Amino acid sequence: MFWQALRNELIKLFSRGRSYIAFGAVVFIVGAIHLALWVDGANFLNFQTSNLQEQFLFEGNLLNGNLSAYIILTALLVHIPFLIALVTGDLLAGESASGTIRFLLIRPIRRSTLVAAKFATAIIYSTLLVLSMALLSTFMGRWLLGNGDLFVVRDTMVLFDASDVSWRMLGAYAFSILGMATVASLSFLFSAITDNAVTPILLTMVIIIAFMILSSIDLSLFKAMKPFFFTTYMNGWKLFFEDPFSWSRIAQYGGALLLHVVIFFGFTQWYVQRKDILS
Amino acid sequence: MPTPILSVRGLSKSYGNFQAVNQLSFTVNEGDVYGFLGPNGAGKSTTIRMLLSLIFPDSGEVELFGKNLYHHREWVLSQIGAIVEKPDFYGYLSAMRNLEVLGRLQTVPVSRSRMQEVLHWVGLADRANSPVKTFSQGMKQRLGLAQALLHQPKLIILDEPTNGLDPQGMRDIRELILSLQREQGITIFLSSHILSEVEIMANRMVIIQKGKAVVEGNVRDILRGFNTGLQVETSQPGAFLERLGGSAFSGSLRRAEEHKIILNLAADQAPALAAWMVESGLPIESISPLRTLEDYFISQT
Repeated sequence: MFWQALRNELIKLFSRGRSYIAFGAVVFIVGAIHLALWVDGANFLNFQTSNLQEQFLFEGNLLNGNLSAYIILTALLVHIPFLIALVTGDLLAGESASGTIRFLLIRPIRRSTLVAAKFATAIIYSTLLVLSMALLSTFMGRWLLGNGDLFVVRDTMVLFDASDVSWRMLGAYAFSILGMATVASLSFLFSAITDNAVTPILLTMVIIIAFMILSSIDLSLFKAMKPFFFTTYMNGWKLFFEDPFSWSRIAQYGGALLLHVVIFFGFTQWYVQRKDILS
Repeated sequence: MPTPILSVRGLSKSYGNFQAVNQLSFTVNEGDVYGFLGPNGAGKSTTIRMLLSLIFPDSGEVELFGKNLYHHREWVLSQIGAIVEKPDFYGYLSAMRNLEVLGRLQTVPVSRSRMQEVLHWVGLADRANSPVKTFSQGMKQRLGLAQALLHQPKLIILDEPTNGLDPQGMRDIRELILSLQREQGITIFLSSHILSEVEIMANRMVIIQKGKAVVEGNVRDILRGFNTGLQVETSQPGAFLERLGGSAFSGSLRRAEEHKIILNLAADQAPALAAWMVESGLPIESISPLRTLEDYFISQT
């Protein structure tokens, strides 16, 4: 029954125009960033590295597909949650708002199975969105800007050899999928609690923005709270671009996100089992 | 000896201080067209939602086909078709796609030929591939019946199935529902706030008010001696009124509203009135007893 329900959910999801808004946005943003880097990337890189150029001599093609993919990852992972919440927040609440939930729940299917199928749909959608971003930025970057070493400045300045970048990118995108799955789980939980489709999207974004703002303020209280914000662990993809590379930290960050996914999904199941369908 | 197909015993549900359903009990037998009658806000929809496990009762038992609903939920629901309140579909999908989505959630997936069969039966075969958002309320109601019939249920639960329909739509839906019972032997549980609708369609009924059963039994027994007039619908109201004065029904006119004429006549005078109209060459659209639930409650107190 789970597979039949999942098939239903995917048919419904991809029969609606709004499901493609996020993919359209990714295509537009990734395309625009690449085009801008292709046209004016040299000046951009000069500006970014102007302080370093006094002490270091840069040689070779630093403006390449790897750098553009990294820039896009940094920029989009803040905004992709909104696009994900737009769809996953609607999965249960949308059915309640439109009344179709009644037709589903009077069928001989367990509520838990239906919720699991919808949750799987949310995860599949999030995965497809991150994958589309990964494929598009990788191929468009390589095509327009070529391959080359990746220059990353965070706490330290690190230069990764071109041959050392692909697996790190792959790892970063895989980790991003986990981060976006956490966002999807949260908006899915709100989708179960509320009966209108807008509230889950707003609540998810309010929480993410609030956590991000509090994390960025350098006060001891917020520093102490930071480990309890799941947004802290969503940045775990950056660990793939650290030197020395630490699997244990990645496991720690990934574990924290996975725990959030399990808690959000578990609470959704618990709530839906007891929910009176009044819509 | 009739076989009980649905037994409700001591069902109660409250929302905060509001008691929506209060110790409700009734029994529906196999083959019944069972009327579930009550004014708006009496607790009909809450009860129906509890019968379909959409809402969990505070107390009481629901037994369907001899099995407890909450212990055998999936099996019980596989035997039931239903429309709860208005039929809401995925507007962006076609009628056929909607049926496919719902059919896949049955214990035994429903075949495409069965879907075509039910669409044909409700008169929507030629609109099978049209998006549901282009359907009228009457068409959605018919599609609602189609989805309820998909898996060949033994019991169909309908929550105010004629709500929001025009007179022709109401007639069509009533005929479809009655033919379900006649031709396929399906037991029908039908909620309504219109007494005359239940009288036309049901053989047994329960009347509820403020969540409590007021009376349960055979429709004729309950309504015997209770009548507030006859309503005649004709396409020639002018001619009707002209000839009424010289007939045996002279002086029975209460009021006339376009095609509807209300007469102060008893229900058992309907055949004689019909015969007179035929003799007089007056077209008959319908003759029905005029009774409202409010009148009934007044007559009982």
